[in-house]
Amino acid sequence: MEGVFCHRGSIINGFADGLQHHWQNCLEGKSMLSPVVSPGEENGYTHSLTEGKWNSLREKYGPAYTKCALLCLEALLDTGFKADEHPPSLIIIASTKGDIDLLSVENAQSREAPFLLSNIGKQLRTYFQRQLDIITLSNACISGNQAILLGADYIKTGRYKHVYAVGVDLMSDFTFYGFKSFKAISSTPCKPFDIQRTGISLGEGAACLRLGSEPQPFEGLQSIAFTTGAVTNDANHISGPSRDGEGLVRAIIKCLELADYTPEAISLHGTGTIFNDEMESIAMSRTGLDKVPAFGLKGIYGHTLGAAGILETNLSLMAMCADAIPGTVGYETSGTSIPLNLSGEKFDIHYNTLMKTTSGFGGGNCVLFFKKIG
Amino acid sequence: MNKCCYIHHWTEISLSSKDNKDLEDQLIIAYKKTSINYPKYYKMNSLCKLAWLALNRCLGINDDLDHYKGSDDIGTLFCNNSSSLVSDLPHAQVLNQKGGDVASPSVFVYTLPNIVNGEMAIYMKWHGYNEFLIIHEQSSTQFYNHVHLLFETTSIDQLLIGYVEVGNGTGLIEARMCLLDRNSVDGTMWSEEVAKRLILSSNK
Repeated sequence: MEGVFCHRGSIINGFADGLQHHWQNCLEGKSMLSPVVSPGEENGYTHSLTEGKWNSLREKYGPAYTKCALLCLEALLDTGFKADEHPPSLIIIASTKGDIDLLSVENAQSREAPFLLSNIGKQLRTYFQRQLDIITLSNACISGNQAILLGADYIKTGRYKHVYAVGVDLMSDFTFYGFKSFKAISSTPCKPFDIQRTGISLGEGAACLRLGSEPQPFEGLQSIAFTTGAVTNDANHISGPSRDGEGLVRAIIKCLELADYTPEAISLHGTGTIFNDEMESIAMSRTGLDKVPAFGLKGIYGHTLGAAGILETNLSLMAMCADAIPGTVGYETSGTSIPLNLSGEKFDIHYNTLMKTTSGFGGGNCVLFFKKIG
Repeated sequence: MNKCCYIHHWTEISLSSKDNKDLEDQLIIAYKKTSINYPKYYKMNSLCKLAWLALNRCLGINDDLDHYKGSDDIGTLFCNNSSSLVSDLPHAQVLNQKGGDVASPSVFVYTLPNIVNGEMAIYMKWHGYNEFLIIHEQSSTQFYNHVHLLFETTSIDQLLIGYVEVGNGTGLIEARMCLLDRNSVDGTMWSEEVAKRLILSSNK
């Protein structure tokens, strides 16, 4: 089996360009969430792209592309994607709803409809004028992490030299009011693991992670290998996590068995809902990881759904390079029955290994293990 | 590099539906014919209902459905082209016509395709690997290889694969499902031909 190394990462959203800038912001612990101000709508905070940013993307790539295609193009090119790579690379697109804002009763009949998830890959092929190898994955909030895991497996088994895992989701009424109907939207910026947490804040954007079979320092900083990962299911409830964290526990145990180490830092899912964060704390306790320095990143850009696993992995890899544990923005006082080793402020420790977790609707859990090399 | 795996219990369901109501009616009739008591079925959207019917037919072939329940070594890989359109549309229509405050959580929760994996996992008490792929007409070679990848890199011994397509609830409604086994040597071998048969819609 081949080794798998993290080469480059990108985050494209309403904040500045370049992963370094995003990391700097993460270190400063600044939330990019702003209140929803539509008429009659006082509740909720979100992070989204400005019209100006959308326009600049349209100017760059052309007016015909959908928002998701624009974000994916920018995220791919920012990690050095070239359409004529030899041998060809694989692109794995991870998204929960794609261009759902384009869904209408009129175009729902069409097999070429612009809102279809398969349309994102089609547009990438059009832009690059090539028959690219593209897989499109839709596994709720674990999609991003699962794309990284599958990408790593495609490299491990020698099928590809390079894989681009790209996650994308938009801020839309569709998801906002959907989560609101669940009473899952926080009326303040989300507060992962905090005693006052009441729900999520939504974000939009894309993130891409380039994986490769050859060692190469991540973003030119430090070589980091993807070592192992696992996907499980709670088999418990379609829209709520299992109370005992069984699915997540099983995924973590699989990874602990496969890896020759226990992770020294944890990048949690941390949505800010009562049930998710509680479930995670129980799963960490059951696997003996509740004392391990941990952080959650959704207080910065909100929950970016299908993109979240990749966006947060990219920032976590930067954290590994910097030997820093980012602050969990929005967190002050532990509000889970098992307190985790979290801090509202960043702190510095030397560490070599990290675990990234995500859990989602449909009962899915995905866990990834990363390790510094050299 | 691709190792073998073998196909068991090939299952096909196809229905012709005038509209959503007609589809729901047909799915309820089909449920009653199974004589299985699973009240959760009524809450599912039509995509999950169709998958549930196909699963029962596929794994219940020799009356041994229970034999598969609770196994940690069975994964699920489902796919289609329209994702969860059949639930996306009513959710979007309510938002357009009546505003966000009347959106229904019981509709919204089905606006993710992998809820199919979740429902099947709950029904079968499967805690293992689960994945939903969005495919198109040219995906069959890729899908063929993807199945091999999962057998090589996950701990599954068996993989329930299924194409489950409801579209917007009208026209031809199709499910094709089978169980792939890493170990058994009887049955047909997994091939590109079978992958093509699985994922290509007859509705061209």
